[in-house]
Amino acid sequence: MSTFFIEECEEPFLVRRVRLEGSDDRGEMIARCMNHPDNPKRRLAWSAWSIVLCSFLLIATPAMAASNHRDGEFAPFWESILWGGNPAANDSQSFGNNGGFVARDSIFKTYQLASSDSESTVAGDSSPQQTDPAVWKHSIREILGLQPPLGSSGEDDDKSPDKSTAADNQDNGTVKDLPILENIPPLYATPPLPQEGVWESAGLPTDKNGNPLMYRTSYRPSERYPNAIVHMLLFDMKRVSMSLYLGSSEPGATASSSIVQPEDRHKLVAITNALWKQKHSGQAGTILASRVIKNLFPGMATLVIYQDSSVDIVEWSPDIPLELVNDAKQLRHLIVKDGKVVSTIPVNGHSSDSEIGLGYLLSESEPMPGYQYWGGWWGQPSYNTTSGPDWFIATRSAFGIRNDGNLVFAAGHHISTKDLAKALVLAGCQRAVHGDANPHNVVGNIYFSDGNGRFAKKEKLSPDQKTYTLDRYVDRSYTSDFYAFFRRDN
Amino acid sequence: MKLHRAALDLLCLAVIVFANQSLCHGQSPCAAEMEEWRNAFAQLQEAIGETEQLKESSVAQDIRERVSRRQSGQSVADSVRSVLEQKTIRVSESQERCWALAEREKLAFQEIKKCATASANRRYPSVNQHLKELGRERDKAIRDLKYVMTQEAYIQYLNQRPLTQDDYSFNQKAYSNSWYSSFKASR
Repeated sequence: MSTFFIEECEEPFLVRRVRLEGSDDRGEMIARCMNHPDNPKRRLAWSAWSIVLCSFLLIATPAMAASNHRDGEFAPFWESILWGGNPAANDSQSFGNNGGFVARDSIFKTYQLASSDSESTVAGDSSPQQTDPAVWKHSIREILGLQPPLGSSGEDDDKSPDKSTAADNQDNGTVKDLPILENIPPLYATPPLPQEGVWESAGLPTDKNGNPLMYRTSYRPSERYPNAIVHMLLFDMKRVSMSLYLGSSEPGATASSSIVQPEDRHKLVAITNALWKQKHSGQAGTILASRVIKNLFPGMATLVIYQDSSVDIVEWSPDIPLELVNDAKQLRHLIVKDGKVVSTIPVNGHSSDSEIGLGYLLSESEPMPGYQYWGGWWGQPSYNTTSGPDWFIATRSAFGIRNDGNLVFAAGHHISTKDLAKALVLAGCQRAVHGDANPHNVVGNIYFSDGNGRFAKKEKLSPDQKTYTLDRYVDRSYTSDFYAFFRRDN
Repeated sequence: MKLHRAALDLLCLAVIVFANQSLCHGQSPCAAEMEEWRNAFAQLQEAIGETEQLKESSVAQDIRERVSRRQSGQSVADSVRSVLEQKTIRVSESQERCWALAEREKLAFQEIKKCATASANRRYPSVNQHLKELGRERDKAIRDLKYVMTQEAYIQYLNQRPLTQDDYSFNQKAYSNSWYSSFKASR
């Protein structure tokens, strides 16, 4: 039985002696001394390890930071009561094999529809006026498809939520011409969403007299997808004006058209995304500052800003004199028409679903630009595209116009076009147009000026909105179109 | 007997000739139905033309006047919309008339078809041919009707097919390429 023992390395580079014992033959073997610090192989191994370690630190750390950041960005604010906004962040099993959303009993068990007889949570109502809650509940449940129409007597028309705007020109007792807003009783009693459906102006920018310029609320309008949540911002267009800004990558853009100029920033109160990029909008046209960038297409849903700063959402008519138009932007068809959700549209003589999508380009979560995510390394995108039977569920936005001329911006997470439209109908909108989609693009920023052209504070409309979207538009130009809302102070 | 036989033959011949005279050279089969359809069709064509004219007529000048005369507190948006709504009402009424006339024309044409089916035999082979000619006239009118009856908002979809779920099938690679290429392009 031979035994080995190893002599310590004597030579700086090469050898160590290995003496064989327990055998008749005593001999020496020369081998490379791997343990010697000056051994080239050892140095090579150390170098390789260092490279691997450095690579890990260099690449993995930002990715992990981004991943953490993403968690911060993507984790729904309402997580304790909802898992809306980004279902995959909470439960990857919620998506079926085809990527479509699969409703699960355990999810829906947590949601309970509000009883039509129960008192709704309208406590803390800050609106100047309220209608009969029973009437409201009926019409809301009707709009949400939970109750059949009241009948053909026309009774339902009289009780439509939009009737709230009929008295808009009346004094509300304190300040003239403030919008008269109806709180929307929640569809779901459990789990409660704080102040759901209650229009609030507290904590939002005001005019120089302290009158509200805008109102906000959040609402869950979908029976099928209870975790769909819409955040709405209603602009008092008598006190606010709006302008279209072209994205820097859009046709017709100039250096000044993609950023709010410093001299305008002291009046800036909000910025929202606009409609789709031109390359995705087909025949849709654009007018910017009275300049026709692309001819408007007749009949297409159009958000028009007239020369007197009044705003409307119309099916475009070539009869509208262009000299009256300051800005206009188009996208497909109205999603709310005559105060009702448009559920089907005629396509070449056939009735077709009115849902608005863009093939595989809709998504519920997107990677933050400039970062490579772990998943992406292995060919798996770290965003959830919407496809399959629930392809229409996405992060979306829309604009609605009320009879009082006030504009409502709605940003919805995990939502269909029709459910977003329902929320706008409940907000009193007569007509609505679809806005931009996908988490990276849906933006509702609120700005608080310090009076010196700087901002004391910037806020997101939706807690689920990406934080990095706050840095666009004023600090740097942005590639996509947007709308800026300014205090009129006239 | 021979005389009787000859008289009978002569009588048969006379009956055939008389029948031929009355049916072929007198009033044609389905003439009443044809007349009814012709009237309905002419009215429909007239209504289609009127509706098309109404849709294409401009109210731009009315809008300008309404805007210039608007009261204080009334916005341009309100003025524009009120004029456009009036036009929409007129167009809708005209479209309703088209619907009613199209329905009448359809019924009249069904009557012709019924009549033609009943009359079509070896003696009147031309009835079906005539129906085909009418069908071509109708096809053109129906195309016009489809255009006129389609709301302006949906003209954009007139030559498209409805989207199906297959249009939204998930193609991961295509999506990935598309997303990153568009992102790079947009920077």
